[in-house]
Amino acid sequence: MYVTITSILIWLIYIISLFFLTFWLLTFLEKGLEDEELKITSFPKVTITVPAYNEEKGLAETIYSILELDYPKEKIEVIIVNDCSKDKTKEIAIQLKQDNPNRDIKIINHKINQGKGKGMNNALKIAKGEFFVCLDADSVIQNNALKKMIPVFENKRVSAVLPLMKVKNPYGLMGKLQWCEYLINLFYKGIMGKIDCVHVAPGPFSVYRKKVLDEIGGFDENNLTEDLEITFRLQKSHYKIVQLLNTSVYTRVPLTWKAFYKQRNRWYKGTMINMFGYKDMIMNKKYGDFGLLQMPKIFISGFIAVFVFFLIVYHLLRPFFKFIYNTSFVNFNFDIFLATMTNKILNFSLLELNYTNIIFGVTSIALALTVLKLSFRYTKERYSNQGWISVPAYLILYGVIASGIWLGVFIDLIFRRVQKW
Amino acid sequence: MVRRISRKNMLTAGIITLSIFIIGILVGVTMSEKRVAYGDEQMIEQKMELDSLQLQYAFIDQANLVNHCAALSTAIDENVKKLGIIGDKIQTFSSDINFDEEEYDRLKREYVLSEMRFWLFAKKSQEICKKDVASIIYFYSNEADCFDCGAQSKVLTYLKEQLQDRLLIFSIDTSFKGEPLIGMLKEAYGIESYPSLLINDELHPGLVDEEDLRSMLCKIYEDKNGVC
Repeated sequence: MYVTITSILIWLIYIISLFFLTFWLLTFLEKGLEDEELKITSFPKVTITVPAYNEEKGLAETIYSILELDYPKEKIEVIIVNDCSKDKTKEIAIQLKQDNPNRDIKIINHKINQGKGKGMNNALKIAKGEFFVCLDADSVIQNNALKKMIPVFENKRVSAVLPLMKVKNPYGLMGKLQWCEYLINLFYKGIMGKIDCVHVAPGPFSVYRKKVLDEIGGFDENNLTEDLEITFRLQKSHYKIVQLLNTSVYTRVPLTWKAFYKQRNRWYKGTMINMFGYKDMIMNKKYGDFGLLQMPKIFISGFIAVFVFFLIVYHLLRPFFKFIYNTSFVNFNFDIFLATMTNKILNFSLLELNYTNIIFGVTSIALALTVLKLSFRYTKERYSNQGWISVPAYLILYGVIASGIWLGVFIDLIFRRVQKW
Repeated sequence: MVRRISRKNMLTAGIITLSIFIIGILVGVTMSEKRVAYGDEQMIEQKMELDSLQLQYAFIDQANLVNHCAALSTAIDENVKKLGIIGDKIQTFSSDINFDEEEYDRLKREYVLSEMRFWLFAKKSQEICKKDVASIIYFYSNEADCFDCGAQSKVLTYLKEQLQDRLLIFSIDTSFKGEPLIGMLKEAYGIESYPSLLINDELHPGLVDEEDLRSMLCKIYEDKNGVC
């Protein structure tokens, strides 16, 4: 092999990943992650919008988590946007309004399905709150949320505050994988927030300053990932986005492979498309760390994922099938396999090990485990909370699955297959 | 508004990353040198073994000590096996990152020559000792050129395990361009495709499966016990 293009690419990816990991850990060491405990002094009005399309199952629980928020009742305005649901969403919304006559609940009914961005903008038009919140109907908010989040807006540059996002339904392999994924992502986002590098204010309970939303023109109505797009726009206008880790929103994640693929395909594709829309921010000093580090990182991560996918196929799956093929010629004789192995072990010399790869591997694994440990500490979870399988399953499977999805996204983009929301 | 740039952390992260990377590469290079030294040592040992065997053989021939033939044949088999292991190791070494292409080519070349010497010697020793041994030269190539080479190796290893010192296998990597002898052999026996087996001077191109190989060997052995 000597030094081939593949090995140079692997080294490059190693250098890039190691650089980012080290950078974020250094930032963490410098800034820490403890949220300042701010005392709430005033209670401004907050509008909470719940966009709902066929959400009959989760809607009531979502609305009740809002109604139970530890915040003055008259200061909360709820707007349910029923985006022409085909199920009983509309009836449930009306029932909820009737059941809580002393609460400020409004319902917007779309005659035709218009998408989430449009729904949020329609709510924005009638919203009376000083702050505007979106809460997807598949999510439930912790009752101390507004008390922790609203005081952060004392800083006039803050345009959005995000809670810690956790998985509400960590069931089965898929749920456990995502449970672990969310904890790590949120830890990472916590650090990013410290240097103004948050790149997405997700659907579940991102609190925006309404004035800023009006100023930048509301949500993009034709976007696969309007939450990512609006965050890019806020970053472009140099507003601050703060990620908190001291209050949580629990969101429902897809539990089947198909639903998961569909969701991620949309997210990743939306990321790529928006990346092209905001390409002038990539490597642009004007946007500080966000332009110099975060944008390039998001941009290349997809390409790296696809390359990793091919690496996995080439270096793990291909030899595996080749092995099966080759052994079929000796009728899968186990003795010969054993004899070859014994021979290898008996004649093993330490010189055979690939020390460069070992050093690269050990440093990567050590850093990854550090991040894992810190993630669990700062999101106040234990490894065993969802069974011992979740963390190893995440470590082994997540990269493979994500790379596979990225491959699908690139194929879609090449053939210009872009779904509607 | 001027956005903050974490210059200090970027620089520190860059320095840490590059340091780890350079350490990794340097260790790889150091090990690469150690491997060449190890390969050389093994090669010298093999040469010595061959010298010794050749002298033993000459002695048997002269003094007509045919009763020593069995011991000689076992010694040949053991050395060919050992040589095979060294060959595998050189293969493993050279597939790793290294910056010493020339040194590895030299090692590989020495290995090929050693194999050929043993092959010729094994053939010669047959004449006097008349042992019931078959020898195979297995011509293989890198995977891109030879899909079935892995399977052929498996079949050969399988039969070798069963026949032990009755079968001698010498494998030649035809994708190795550093030794003219390989080209000569290819020309002499008309080898064009891989895998190809040269069984006691008779060429069998293409993958030979276990059953076919058995029947071919069957024709060679006088004592057919355990073969067919």
